[in-house]
Amino acid sequence: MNDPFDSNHMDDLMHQAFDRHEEIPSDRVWQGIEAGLDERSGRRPVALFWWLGVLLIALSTGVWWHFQGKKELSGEKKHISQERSDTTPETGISQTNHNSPAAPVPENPKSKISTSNSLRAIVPPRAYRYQKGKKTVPSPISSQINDNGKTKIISPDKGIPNPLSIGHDRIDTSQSTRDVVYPGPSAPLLPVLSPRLLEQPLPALHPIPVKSGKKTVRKWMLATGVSILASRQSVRSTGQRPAQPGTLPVAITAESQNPAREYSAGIELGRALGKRWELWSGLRLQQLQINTLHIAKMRRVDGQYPGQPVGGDLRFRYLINTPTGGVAVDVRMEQVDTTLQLPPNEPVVFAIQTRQTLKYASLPLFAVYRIGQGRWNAILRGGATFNFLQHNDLVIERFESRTDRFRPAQLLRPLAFNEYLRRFNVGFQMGAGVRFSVSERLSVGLESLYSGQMSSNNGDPYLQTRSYSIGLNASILCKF
Amino acid sequence: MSAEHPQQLLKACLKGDRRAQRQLYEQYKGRMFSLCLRYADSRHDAEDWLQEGFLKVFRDLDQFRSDGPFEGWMRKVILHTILENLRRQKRLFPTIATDNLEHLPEEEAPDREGEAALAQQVLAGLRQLPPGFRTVLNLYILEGYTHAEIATELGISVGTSKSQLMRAKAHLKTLLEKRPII
Repeated sequence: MNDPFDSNHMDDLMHQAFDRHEEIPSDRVWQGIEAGLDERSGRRPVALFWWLGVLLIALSTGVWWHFQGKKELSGEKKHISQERSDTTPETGISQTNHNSPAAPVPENPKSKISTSNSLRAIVPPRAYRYQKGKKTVPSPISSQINDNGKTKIISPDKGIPNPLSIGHDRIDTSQSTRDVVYPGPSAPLLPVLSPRLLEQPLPALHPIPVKSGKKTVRKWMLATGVSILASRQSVRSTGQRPAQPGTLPVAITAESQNPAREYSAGIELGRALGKRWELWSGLRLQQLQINTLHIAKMRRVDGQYPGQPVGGDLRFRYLINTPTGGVAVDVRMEQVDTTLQLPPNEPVVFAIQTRQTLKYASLPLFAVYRIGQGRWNAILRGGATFNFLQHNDLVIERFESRTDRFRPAQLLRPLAFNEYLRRFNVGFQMGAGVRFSVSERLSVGLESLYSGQMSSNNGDPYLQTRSYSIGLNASILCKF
Repeated sequence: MSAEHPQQLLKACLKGDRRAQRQLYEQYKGRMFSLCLRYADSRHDAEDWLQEGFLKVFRDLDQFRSDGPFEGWMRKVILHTILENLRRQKRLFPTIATDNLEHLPEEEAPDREGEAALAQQVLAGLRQLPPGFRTVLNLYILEGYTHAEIATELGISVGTSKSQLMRAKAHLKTLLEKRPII
């Protein structure tokens, strides 16, 4: 009788088994290939995100310069024109350079009409930037005002206080007193202007009237800050997983409390919406370090094969959950005494200690509600963060059996990994804290934060996860 | 793009056409995955190797000379990927006591008939072999390598290759006898 397993037959058997054999891999293989090809061709979504971040920073810088430029422009012009009300048609004010007080306004009809119907002040810019810090610096230039034939010299030299550092003066028209603000930083002195220029209508350069004691509202804000958070992730894994070929169906119940540290730093651009609300967005870089001790219980649930003895190796898959997905660990354990069998439903307990470092680039989008109008403000924040995974590193620090009969496989690799990480996830963030205005432009803030994930991230129906972080965020805020 | 025009398909792949790459993958994934499975401990490992192998195929596609069959070239690339991985894991030739093989877990006997069922059963047996035995067995019987080529590829002596083959066959025989082939 032929031995079907003799040497020659073995060759035939293998050829017969495999020459035309095909097996279909799972979809994740093509997904991995596609991701690899994308990475190679540089079409990574991450790269796109970085460009978005750069664009955002460029945009915020641009907005800042734009507003700065506007202020300087209006400061340079120093043309202030204010139509007089119809109730005082006879009043006309013109202003000339202090250095040439005798210079008359040209006698031409146009000029007369113009000066008699309007109040104009031409203010060389440097003349009104006389407040430096808390000291009042005398202005080199004063103004001459013609008011219906009466002349008054209004000069900053006389000590008119300037409540705002950006330029402020009071124009006395004998009939009314108006505060006028000249927004913008210092600018060079204007050249002497021709009288004709005085008569040009300047509709776009109206002064900004403010009431004494009121501050200019700055709507844009740029903040940079750092956050330190302590996280805890609770993972509960239940249920029966389908058996892999060559393995037994098992049920794993696992619980882990994962202490983690999270650091982040970033730059954010905000916009005031009314007196209370602010809307913020920006770019943050986060590093999350999770140190986890997974304690898992595994038991056979191969009810469809009752009575079949099982000894030797145990091979099963365990999932480690992370904020952006799962890491599947194929665990291989063996019995110390291989003659023993593992009865169904007898638990095998094992422990895996891991250290995982995750790095994200995050795009926060949140609203801030400000309480109080003084130097101290209470703030409440809430919003979402869009997190893009940049780097993942998982290190197994310890793997041990807590059931005496079993131990990690000695001859074969006891653990193997496969990552099912998502490159993107969404979280939420809430916080409350205080903000202190150091100056008109500068504030510092300190907030307590609470953040978490909006949903389980790895799509594993057997995993129930909860993740939350609490910590502090310190920031410096600049208004412009 | 049609599978009936392999040259056009390869040209499109060279240009980075994703649909063509997908088509090429779909065309060969079954056979190449079978190849990976024969060397792997688990389906998981096999899938990883298949993924890495296909990435190398797409990367090195310009090195393929059209005077030979494409499948043969691809097979060679993937086989090299497998062997590289096995070498990296440094577990090609672990010391293993023969006794342990007697106590490996019983596994579900496949219900299917024919070649597929046979392949599954032999695969199950192969998975229980130490990686070194399994590799030599596959290279010699199915890939047609000589002992000298195996020795060069794996960095072992010709004598080791021969003895590994003999022992591998003996172990596989033992394992398959425990579950009669349908």
